[in-house]
Amino acid sequence: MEKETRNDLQFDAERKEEEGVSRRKFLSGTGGAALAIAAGGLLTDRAVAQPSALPAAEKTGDKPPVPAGIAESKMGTVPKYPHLLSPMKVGNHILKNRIIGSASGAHLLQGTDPSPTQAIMIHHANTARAGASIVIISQPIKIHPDPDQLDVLKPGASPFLYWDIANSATRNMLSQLTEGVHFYGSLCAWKAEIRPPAGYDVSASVSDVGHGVKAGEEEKGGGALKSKTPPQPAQEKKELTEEMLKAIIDSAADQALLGKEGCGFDAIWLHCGYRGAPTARLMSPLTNHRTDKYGGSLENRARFTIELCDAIKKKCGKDFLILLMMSGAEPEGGYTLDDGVKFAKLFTGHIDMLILKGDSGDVNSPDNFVTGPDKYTPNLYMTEYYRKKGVTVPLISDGGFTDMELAEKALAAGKTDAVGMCRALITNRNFLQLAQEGRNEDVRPCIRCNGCHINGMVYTPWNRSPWHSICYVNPTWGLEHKIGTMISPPTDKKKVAIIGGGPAGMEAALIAAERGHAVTLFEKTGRLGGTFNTFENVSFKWPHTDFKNYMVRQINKSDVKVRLNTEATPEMIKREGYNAVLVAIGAEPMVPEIPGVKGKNVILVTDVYGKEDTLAKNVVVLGGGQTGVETAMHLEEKGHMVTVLEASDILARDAVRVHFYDEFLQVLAKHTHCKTILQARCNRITDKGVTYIDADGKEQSIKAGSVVLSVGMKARSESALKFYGSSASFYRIGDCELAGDLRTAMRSAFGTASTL
Amino acid sequence: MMENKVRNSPQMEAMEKRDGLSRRTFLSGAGGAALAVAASGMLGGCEGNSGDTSPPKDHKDQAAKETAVNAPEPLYYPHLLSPLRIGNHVLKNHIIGTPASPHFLVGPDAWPNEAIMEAYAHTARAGAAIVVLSQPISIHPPEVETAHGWGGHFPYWDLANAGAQNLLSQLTEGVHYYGSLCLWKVMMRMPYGYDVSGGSIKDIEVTTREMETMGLEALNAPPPPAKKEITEEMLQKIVEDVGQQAALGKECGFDGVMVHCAYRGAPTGRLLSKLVNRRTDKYGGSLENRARFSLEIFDAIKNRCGKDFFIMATMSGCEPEGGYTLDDGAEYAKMFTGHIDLLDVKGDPGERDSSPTYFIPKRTPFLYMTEHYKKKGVTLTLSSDGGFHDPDSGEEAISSGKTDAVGMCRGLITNRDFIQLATAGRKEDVVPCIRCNLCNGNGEQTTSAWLSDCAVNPVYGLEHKIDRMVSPPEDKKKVAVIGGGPAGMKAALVAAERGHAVTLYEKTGRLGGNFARIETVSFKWPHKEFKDYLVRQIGKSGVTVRLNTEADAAMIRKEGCDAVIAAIGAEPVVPDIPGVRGKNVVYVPDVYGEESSLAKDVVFIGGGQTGVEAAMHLALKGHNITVLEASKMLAPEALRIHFYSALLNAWEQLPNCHYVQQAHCTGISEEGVTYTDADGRKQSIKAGSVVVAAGMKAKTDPALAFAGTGPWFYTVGDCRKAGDLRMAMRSAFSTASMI
Repeated sequence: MEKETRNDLQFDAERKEEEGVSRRKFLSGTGGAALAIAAGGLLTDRAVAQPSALPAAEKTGDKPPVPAGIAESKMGTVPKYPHLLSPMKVGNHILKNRIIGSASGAHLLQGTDPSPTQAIMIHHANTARAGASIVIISQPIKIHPDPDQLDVLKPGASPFLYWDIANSATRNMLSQLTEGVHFYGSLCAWKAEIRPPAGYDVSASVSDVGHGVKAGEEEKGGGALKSKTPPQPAQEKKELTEEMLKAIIDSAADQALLGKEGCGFDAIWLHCGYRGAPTARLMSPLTNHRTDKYGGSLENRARFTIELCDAIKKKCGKDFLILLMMSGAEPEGGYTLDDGVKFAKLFTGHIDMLILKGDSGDVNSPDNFVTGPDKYTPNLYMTEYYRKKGVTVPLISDGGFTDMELAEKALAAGKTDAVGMCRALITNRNFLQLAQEGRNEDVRPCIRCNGCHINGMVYTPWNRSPWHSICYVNPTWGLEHKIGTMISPPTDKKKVAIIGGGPAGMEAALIAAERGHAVTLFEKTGRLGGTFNTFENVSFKWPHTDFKNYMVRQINKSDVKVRLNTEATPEMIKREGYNAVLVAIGAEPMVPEIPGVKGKNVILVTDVYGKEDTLAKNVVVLGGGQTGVETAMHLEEKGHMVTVLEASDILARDAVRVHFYDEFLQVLAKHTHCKTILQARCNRITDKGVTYIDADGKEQSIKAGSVVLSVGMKARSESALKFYGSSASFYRIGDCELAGDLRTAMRSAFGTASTL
Repeated sequence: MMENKVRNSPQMEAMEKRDGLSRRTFLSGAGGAALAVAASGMLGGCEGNSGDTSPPKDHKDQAAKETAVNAPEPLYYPHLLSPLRIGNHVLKNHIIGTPASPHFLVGPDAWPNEAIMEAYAHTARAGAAIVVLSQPISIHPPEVETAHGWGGHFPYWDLANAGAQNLLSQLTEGVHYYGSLCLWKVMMRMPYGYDVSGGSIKDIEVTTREMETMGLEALNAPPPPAKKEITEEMLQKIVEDVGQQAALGKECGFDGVMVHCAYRGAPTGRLLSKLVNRRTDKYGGSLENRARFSLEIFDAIKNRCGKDFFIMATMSGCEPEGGYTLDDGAEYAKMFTGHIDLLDVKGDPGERDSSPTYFIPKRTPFLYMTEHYKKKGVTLTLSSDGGFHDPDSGEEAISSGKTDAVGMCRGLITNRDFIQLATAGRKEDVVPCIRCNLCNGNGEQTTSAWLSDCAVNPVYGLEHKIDRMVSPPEDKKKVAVIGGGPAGMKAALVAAERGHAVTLYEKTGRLGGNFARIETVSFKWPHKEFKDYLVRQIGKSGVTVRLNTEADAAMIRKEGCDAVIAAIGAEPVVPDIPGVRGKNVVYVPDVYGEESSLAKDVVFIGGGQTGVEAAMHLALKGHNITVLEASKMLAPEALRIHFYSALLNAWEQLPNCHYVQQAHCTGISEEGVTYTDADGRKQSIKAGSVVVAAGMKAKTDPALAFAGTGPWFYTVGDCRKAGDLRMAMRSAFSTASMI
């Protein structure tokens, strides 16, 4: 067994070496800049598969010659991040580095079948390629899932589509998936499905404080989210019997064997975090009130998990890895950090790696509201503590890791043995290459919006929106399986003018320049960044500032000619002569037709930032979308008393729902001087404040010295259209095409520039 | 809405046209010939630049230029290509991609596959500002809809299936990638056994469809079984259902819907129609009443999805006699104003097919409709649909104010790089559509698979995999192509584009093959345009053409070619009939150009499409025609959908054309022809000339004579298998792409 593994590793190493060469060769060889870009810094399978990249020599089996004109390697000869990139021995396996690809998937790519699509296979292979030494599939895999779960018109439709591991054709597809991951020398794991029978829980009638979709969730956040249907009362549950627990263990072990033998999986990932699965619910004193051998003492509470691990090992052999994920500590009333250490010690010898996360679905994918000195790695203290207390099982700290330097430091200091990474590998499909080259400054920052988890944007009468799960900063994520055919190489070198230096303008400029065009970027102000510049002093927008700084840095490194303090006009563009003009002049706030809206005390939401001091102490924000609420929170932090009036019955209707919205409302609740009123229609603004019609149709008034308008944005279409005719081809990108978010801006910029 | 519309026609400054260093440079420069070929459909006429008929320039020259920044180009087609503002939407240009897709890419599932997603994305990429899906989509479609019933040749997609929603979202994402809006046709279903009016209604739409299976007999067919009148409650149910569909579709990233109100198909169209709506309640009688249901549908959609949810309605400009008139149509358009965003006006199959075939002599036959509407003061944004395949037609129609936008479908199928060609002003490189309607489905029977591919774009329907099917050339080869018909020309062009040294041998004095012979056929004008296009491209390419040179094996062997492609076509089948060698007997390809030497009365033996079209051509030249066809139908092998009825209509309009079905010819003499009729009786017809149209067979033996003249030998086009232009283009393209 051992020998076999080593051979595999050697092969992998050789494979990777070849891989590296042919990629580069392709890029420089065929003017394939287009495709290089197609890959957004990553390289798709298509890019490599491009036939034109392969010279005849390769067919004879010779080492292909390095074509002339290839750039000098940026890699150097000394490892840049020796701890992060060092191999790691776990059991009889050697991981290729210390990056563990935490459970994730591009949910949108999942089709209707209870099996993976080609698109999702490519997606996971690309995660391995991006650097994950273990790729953990987030898709739930089950024995014979219920097809009814797909019907969005039925209550209780599953947000996930299950794959059927008991179906032999599905196992074929899963084998193709794991093979794609193995291709890049990574191990492949999946989440074990551990589910109690319907109507049962670890203890009878416990309150549902764990992670997951809960009845009446819409009521959360002080009634901010009002459900249109009355909340369903929590179902009475019975206590799981010991026989049932035994059956769960048997079923999980069967799954594990099917996954190992039938699908080529190397490891299984056990979800023991935040009181989701029975494992975690038994571990937690918050939910476990049993009096039998599974309840009471810490040893008893750990018993089920240990039995489960042992059953899996017994079926699959000791070389089948078990990664156990748990909350480092629970909230008050739950187990403490020291208890967690005891669990870890009990698990030692039964599992292979222990992943420590924060304690809820929301903080384990830290968002932009996580601030403070440890904001980049908020869960690192946990593994550090466990190690200090003598835990010997290999530890993985999970949550927030995107920065190579910080990961390297954490590993070098022994605070953890490996780091869990998910979003860094989504935003950077070439993360490993960047790490090998020591290019931390070229890592595209994640803005921590959790759009990758679900981008169901709107509250709808349906159970859920489609799981768009799209990355806001990497415009090709979710398109990797087909981007190669969506883009052609540039046909000629064009002179390109881009008007507006916000994110869309910068992205388009970078892509166009990478494709070899002569690009001039016009920005009317003295600095690049557009709207993102206004967020710089917002405490909870730090990832956005990181991202903006990254974009500016890339522009500075590129061949893009930047003309600051230059308000481009159609005449100017025409005079200077361009083949293409891309207008990226953004959006402007809408002004509602309300009496008094032109008053001196009224300010547009975009003008608030940087002028907070000029506003009165009491502020009313009209419009409770995400923008309005965030502005209100920001003003509150600057010492204002803020009231948000929202006409609909939902606050921040446009915010990302899963793993974001909860946190968003909790943060809002902490802003104690920030009040929100729903179903309030403003009908007049005076110099004393505003009046509005409340939910019952009664007129109310609020005193306020300043009124902020945040009722939506509209594209600057008219100004943009003036540029039509100033060059042979004309495009609008970003907010001036469609007033949207960073995602729509980046996608339209990339999509457009990639066709030049 | 009107005021907001962009009506800018910026003055173009004629700037010096840049010397073309185009794709060709890239292709030769970067060894990307594979891509060139792969893209040949996509890059359509990428063989060279306008006016550049000289042989390709030296590599070095071009490489040097590649580094230079080009001078800006002038603005071509400023009306067609400028953005169009409608409400809060800004369309990227004035081209509306009307519903179309390679139907055969759709699999058995109730959701889109990768191939069809890519096909729609390519339509956006080709230039459509709005891409309208042709696929029927509904909420939990019953299985029966996929297997039977009208529209049943398409598997339905399920809007309420979570996985299908993911896939639909991926589809719209692909269209959005290229900055286009994505719409789908909203489904309006009447309960089985119900129609907008009770009783048995024989309408033209039904007859047209019946023609596809019954031929001309459909004209005398009995009316269909009686139906019950749909109740107001049922209509309200449809309205509700449409609203729900729209809301679900919006969730999947669709920007709007298309509501089909044309030619008495959906309940909307049937209620608008004066021909089939005989109701006496609030949905029948006056124009206002007849429009009521459509307006209810529109408003239900806007109510559910908001005012910025785009509604495009498609409507017949007017109906055939007895139906609503052009003026009525204008009234409808006025009533729709404020309720919808765009009205697509098309022809009515009752008089002429909405996807004009080559039997219609006008390039854009329905433009007069929007023109009339505008004259009548319609302010709604209008799109004229039908026949807009080239940038000039669109530019002219919009700049003259006859329409606001143009619907385009086949122009974007034949040219997957339409927008690039138009922007660069390369109209001469736009591949002409021959208006054969293969793209709508080339099943010979309504139950056949919908092999909707394109006769002139050989990679349509292969786009999702073509780059894996083609490898780059390994070295520069010497290639001989024998025969200068469409297949020979296409093979020569593709081989030359891949960098090979190509010589094209043509025994006559001109290129074009059979297509050169049908030049004088009035209704084959699109074929002539396509032939002229190929000849033009050959002129611009590096292909050496040797006219008046009948190549033989010895000659080719002496040349020492690496690859030899025979494209020498097909020859008529000579049936085993007494007298078939007589002096008065002509074979169908020889008719063309020899019309005047034929007698006044002509009998055709064989009423396939080839025979029928030759007969129609002679009839137009003044001959009296009788066609003897062995089967029960005229032209039984002709394309059924959106073509066959047009063919029969054209035939019907020629009084000097007759046909005898189930007639088996038994002998030919100087007086005429004898045959046995359907009842087995002997009959005879007098005729001075007899045309044999009993099919074509590949010139297999003469083609095989070239085998061994070079290491690689191929046959392409009709000499591989006697077929149509589609087969010729596909075999030529695929063969040359392997060299």
